[in-house]
Amino acid sequence: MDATKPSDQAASQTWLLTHQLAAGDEAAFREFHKQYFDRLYHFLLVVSHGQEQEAQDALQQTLLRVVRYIRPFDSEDIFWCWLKTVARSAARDANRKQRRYAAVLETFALRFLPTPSGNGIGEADLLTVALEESLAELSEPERRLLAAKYIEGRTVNELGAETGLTFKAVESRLDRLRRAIRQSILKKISNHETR
Amino acid sequence: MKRGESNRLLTGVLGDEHLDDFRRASLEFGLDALRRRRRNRRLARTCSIVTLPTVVTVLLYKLITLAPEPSMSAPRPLIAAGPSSRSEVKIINDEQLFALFPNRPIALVGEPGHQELVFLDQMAAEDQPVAR
Repeated sequence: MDATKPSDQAASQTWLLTHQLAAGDEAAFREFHKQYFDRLYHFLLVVSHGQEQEAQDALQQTLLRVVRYIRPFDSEDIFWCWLKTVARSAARDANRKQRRYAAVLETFALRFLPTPSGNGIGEADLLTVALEESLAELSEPERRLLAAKYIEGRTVNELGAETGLTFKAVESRLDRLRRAIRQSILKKISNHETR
Repeated sequence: MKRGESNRLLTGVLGDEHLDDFRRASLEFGLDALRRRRRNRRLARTCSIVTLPTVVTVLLYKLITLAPEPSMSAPRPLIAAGPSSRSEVKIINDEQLFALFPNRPIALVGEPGHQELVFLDQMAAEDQPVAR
């Protein structure tokens, strides 16, 4: 029985969050934004082939549609699948404004969308694969530095003390690595056909 | 690499000042949309609260005013023609009719069943029947 508790808890949290969102609660929207902004942005970055501006436009449209069409969900997985469907349609609309009729139909269909299937997992995986491939192109010390900063959450001062570099040197190296890996990821996903 | 770790790393490497600005702007954008939707909902609810009783009142008024009223020109209900009204009509024979006008010269003229009562003194004066 204990094994089911975390999922029950997650389900009730999802239900509470989506229920409050549907009721127009601002605190719930802040929480939703905090939890899903990065996840949605990463997803849309892949959908838009690494076009950051397009991904951001689609994300704004997604937020608008979430506010408009949100309904209570009792499963985080189903909620995320629904969000992906909304995000994908927002990205498509942003990219194909001339197909207004299809957009209207799709918007209408969102109200009655049945439980979405688990398709679209490929986008999240693609980003992770692009990240891992990009990391593999770095040297071991560079990978360690990135992991220490962004996975372990170490501060620049701590990293400086460990590596014997100055604060500015660590910051500069992190910035260079971040730019390099970011460009590498965007290039990889822009070359990948997902649509 | 675990999914949580790769997500944190992705957030770190893909994020920058521009994205942080966009993050803040998108939060405000979403909150504005939320407020707008809440305001529209409240407005719709208020409208329905005001409109519904008005519509019901108008309908009730129409129903009341359009309901058929008993008018003067309408035919009287048939219950008036009951046994009481029939008892007011008294059938009398010729002798009883003559007895009603003892001091006047009268006669019944015509075929049986279609006879007319004629006041002879008046007929003499006007040279025509007085009553039927």
